[in-house]
Amino acid sequence: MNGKKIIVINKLDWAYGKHNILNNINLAIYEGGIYGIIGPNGSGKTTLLKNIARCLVPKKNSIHIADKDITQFSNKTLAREISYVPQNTDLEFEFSVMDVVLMGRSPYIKRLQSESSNDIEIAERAMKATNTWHLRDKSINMVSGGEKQRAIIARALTQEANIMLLDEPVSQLDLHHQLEIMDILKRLVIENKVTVIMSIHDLNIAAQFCDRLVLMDKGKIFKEGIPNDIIKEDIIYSVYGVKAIVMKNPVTGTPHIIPYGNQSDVHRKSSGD
Amino acid sequence: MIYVEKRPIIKLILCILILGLLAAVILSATFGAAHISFLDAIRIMVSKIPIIGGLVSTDGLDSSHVMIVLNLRLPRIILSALVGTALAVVGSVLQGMFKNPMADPYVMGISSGASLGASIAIVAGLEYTFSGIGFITIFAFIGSILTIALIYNIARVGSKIPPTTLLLAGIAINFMLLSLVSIIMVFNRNQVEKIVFWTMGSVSSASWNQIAFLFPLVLAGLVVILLFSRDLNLMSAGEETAKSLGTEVEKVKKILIAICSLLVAASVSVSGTIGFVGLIIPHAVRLLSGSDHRSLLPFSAVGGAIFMVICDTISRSAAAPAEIPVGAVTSILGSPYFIYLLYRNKKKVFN
Repeated sequence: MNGKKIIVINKLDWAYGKHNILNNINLAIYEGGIYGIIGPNGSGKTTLLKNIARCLVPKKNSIHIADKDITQFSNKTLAREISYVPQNTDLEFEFSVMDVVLMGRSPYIKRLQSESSNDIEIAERAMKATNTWHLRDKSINMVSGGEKQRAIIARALTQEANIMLLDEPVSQLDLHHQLEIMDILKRLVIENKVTVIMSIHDLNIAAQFCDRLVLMDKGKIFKEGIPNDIIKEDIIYSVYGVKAIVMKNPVTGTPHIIPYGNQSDVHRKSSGD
Repeated sequence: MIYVEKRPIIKLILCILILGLLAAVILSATFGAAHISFLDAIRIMVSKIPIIGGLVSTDGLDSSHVMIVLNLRLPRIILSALVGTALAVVGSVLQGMFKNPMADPYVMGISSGASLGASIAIVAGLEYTFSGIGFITIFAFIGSILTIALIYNIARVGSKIPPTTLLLAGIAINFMLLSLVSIIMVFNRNQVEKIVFWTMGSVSSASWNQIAFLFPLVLAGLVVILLFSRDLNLMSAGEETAKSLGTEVEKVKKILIAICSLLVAASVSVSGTIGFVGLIIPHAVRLLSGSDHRSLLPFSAVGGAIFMVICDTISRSAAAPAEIPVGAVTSILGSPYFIYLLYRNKKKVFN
């Protein structure tokens, strides 16, 4: 991280109808690195992410991307700044994996143009970087969940945007594929100078791979900082209501959490039955 | 293979399909009570094409044959082709845009508005024509446009149109208007047959005037829709995805809904509700064209036309001199094929 602010969020509020989801969010995202947005269900992680991706349109002057108000972008120009990997991507009809990846070039292609050989090269590089090149001719609906997630990350890469947002990219994957995706993202940050922001549930994976964590609670940012400052027994207890032991991961040196009981201790009582 | 690599093959297949359409049109013109040979049919048609028409003479041909082909059979064939094109293209667009393989041109309730309009014109006894277009057609057209305007405004949330709301509003209005048609039929027993036959769909009253009304609409609509092919690809991956890849989703949706409504309203008002074309042709041509809308849309246009020309030929000649409603023919031919497609997919998924 070289200290350049790439996203500035200033007094962001968001409500679905009268139901407040985000309250007075203030956050600066610096270029480079992986940001993990963590917090309990309903704390506003996805809503915050969708506001940054402008899937939900925030009020004027609450989010700035590269010093420009996010509401000032057209969808096309924003797609060159921010790529977005949704939690689920379902395609109702058959597209080959590579055709799906090539969709990421859309922000650069004019209405009647087709994908150029340059676009195809960019897609090929992205697919090789995400280990999906061998799947290029398969139907996107016939590959596994992990392969699909990698293909969608490849599509996001072809957008050549500086910022990549991911909504819980690993929550539906097994252990092996979780680590694979996180490794890929880590490499992209280093090799492609992308800033990654993701919502994530697994605190241990978040602590291991993220450079900074944003802990959300009830629509507010509870605390933001490096994993060592966030993954702490007292903080976890006050946000999640979970008693846990935090120790040092003997291999990576990152904080590792072992939860053992809920606030009410219902868990321990019922396990004794 | 990716789309750009497949494009030469796709273009070739499309050319073959277009030749197939021409063959179907000519062949269809030979069917009927008067026996007209394939070559004669070609001569008669080519003689009417500007510029090259002068090279072919119709000397020596029975002048009644020329009249039958040009004034009776050809308008009907061309009209059915245009209706087939419009319905199939609209079906493809709606399936992609709503990300819903069940969507068809009538899903937004337009056809029920047309039926109501036509029923009112029929019971009011409006048998006149206005510059060659019947009042029934005009009423059906107005009915469908009013219906889609109503549904659109019910479904609209601010400046957005959530697809689910639009489809559900369409279904609700569809039921309501069809009930009104039933009530009209109950109180006008002597017109029931006419209304029922109109609803079943037919191009038997085709005229060159109707073609002059439908052709420019279909052509212009198709051109504009083709401009949005890539947006439709992105939208079939979900509206959020399309948006994050640069598509102005709400704007595109409004433009496409407007064009589709116009095309469906225009076709329904000349032909009644012809079912299944708009649902099945997109699924059928996807086997050849793939799901990319840049190829799916032109394939649907040609495929829909071929299917309708064949179905209408069957409808007027299978039980001649009686006529089977073309809507019944499309469904009888279409349903088994649709079930076959389902079966094929099922096998692919579960094996």
